[in-house]
Amino acid sequence: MTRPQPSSYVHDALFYASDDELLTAAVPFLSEGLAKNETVLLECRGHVNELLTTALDDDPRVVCLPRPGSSGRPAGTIAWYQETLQAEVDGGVSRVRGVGEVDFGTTPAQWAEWARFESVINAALARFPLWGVCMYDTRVLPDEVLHAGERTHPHLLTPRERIANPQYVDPTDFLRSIPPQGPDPLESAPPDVDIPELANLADARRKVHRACLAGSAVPKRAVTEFVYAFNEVATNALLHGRRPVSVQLWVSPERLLCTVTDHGTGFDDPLAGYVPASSEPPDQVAAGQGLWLARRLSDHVDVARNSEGFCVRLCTER
Amino acid sequence: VTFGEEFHTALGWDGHLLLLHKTETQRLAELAAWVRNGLDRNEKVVYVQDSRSDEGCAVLVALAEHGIDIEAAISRGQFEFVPPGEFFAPGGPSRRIERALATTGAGVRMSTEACAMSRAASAGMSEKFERVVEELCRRYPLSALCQYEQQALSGTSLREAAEIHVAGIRSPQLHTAREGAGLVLAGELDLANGDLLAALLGAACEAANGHLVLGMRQVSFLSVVAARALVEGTQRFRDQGGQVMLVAPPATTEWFLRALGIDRMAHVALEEGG
Repeated sequence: MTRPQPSSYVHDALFYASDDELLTAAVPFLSEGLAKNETVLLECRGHVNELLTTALDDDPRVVCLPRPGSSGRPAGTIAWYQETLQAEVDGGVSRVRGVGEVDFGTTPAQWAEWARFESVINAALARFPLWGVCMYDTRVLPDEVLHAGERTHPHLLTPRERIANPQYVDPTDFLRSIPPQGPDPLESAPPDVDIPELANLADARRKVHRACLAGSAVPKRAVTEFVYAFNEVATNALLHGRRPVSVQLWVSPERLLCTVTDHGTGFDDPLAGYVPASSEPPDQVAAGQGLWLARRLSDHVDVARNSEGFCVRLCTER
Repeated sequence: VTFGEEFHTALGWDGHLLLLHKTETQRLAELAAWVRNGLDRNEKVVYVQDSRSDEGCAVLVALAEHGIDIEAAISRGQFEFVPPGEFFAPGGPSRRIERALATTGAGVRMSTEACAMSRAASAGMSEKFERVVEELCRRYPLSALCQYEQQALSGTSLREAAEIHVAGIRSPQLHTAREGAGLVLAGELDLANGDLLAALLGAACEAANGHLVLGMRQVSFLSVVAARALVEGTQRFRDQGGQVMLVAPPATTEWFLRALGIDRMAHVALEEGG
């Protein structure tokens, strides 16, 4: 088995079809971490955590954490990992080892969103001494998720060996390979808010806020966050796009959908907004923070060029 | 403060105020609030404008439209126009303010538009005039409302205006006031007032004695642009060892500041709201 240097992020995938395969591959990996006094984390489904802790003789040093995935948002999850890993580094830990199962959700849109997460963390966590193994249960996960997993991990862990993954794709290329979401079905109806030429952000925020509260069952706090996300995307369009900037909002009981369109060409960095741009400790509010916050404060952010120009689509679900 | 609702100040209308307006409707609404506040307190209102000018007539009409019985106030001697030529003459401001104070047991308030100021005074006079007014506000129970178009101020002129009125900003989305040795910010901080915020924080830092306390309880909204203004406006002060304390922002504003790492920046402390 090739052993990576502890100074940077190592991201492996383990595809398994039985508990035996899982234990044969994961237990030696975790035991080695415990023997070296590394921090050992489990972020799997409950019964998988149980299997592993039992196999590790209920070692009290093993820490179980919630699974990353569809109950959260990728940008927020990345921020959480960065803060947690920074605290470990500051505390003098030489390396963190973890095995986890991402919760990919139940819809194709969620599968795509969390596949992007699996790819982006290769760049976002690159500077941290984390050796993470993402476990894919081939008995239950859909083919789309499994196929994406094969392209987002530089190495594969198997019950027999650890090998370089020839199918791995660089995050930028991987994100470009996922087609942007087409128009949302909600967009076929007339919008609940329609601002053809955005001029006053405070007025626009109030219109969006009122319409969201009036027409949806999305919790009030999530609505507030959605309005903050909208403000950042609209600010970017006013500052960096080509005017006029138009805003359209559709509200259903279950979902909030907002498009902000300018007449410019937009940007071409698929990783934009997934990673906070500040240094540690922070000393400035760097460019790119607005889109990063928009990704943290709404469920989905899609960017795409269309016939009108550059469109950012924000969505939050109940 | 409640997120999503129209911004209304709770900071009052006293002291040396800078009314920054983007539209005539905004200007007249804020002016009416300031006049009403003075009349309710039996203060005398001196408005520096020719009563027969178009601007003077527009003010009378607007005050009446905002429900103020301005004719009655004029007949009581509680509201008067003073022609700019007379007011801005050497010694004019103090002479007129002292005369007004002699006729009322309460305070006096005085307002002028930047255009009247610039028409009546030579270049550079407006800043000199502002310093005279600042001195008068310190000496007497005087509230001065200086009216400027927000679009007309940028760069140096914005910095100068912010410096003189640092604790008296009355703009559409941002009001300020002094609280002890600190500065209270109220309103929605975003792209519309990022430059103003940075300018006034720079001025507040100049006046602070190594420790700047910013009361943020009434900051109902804050964007990345405003957070950047907060950081950059206090940068030099902090680089020289000055401490900035952000006090009691509402929960979402606090989350936003923490997410951007503002609370972990050098010489910044964030005190949670209760």
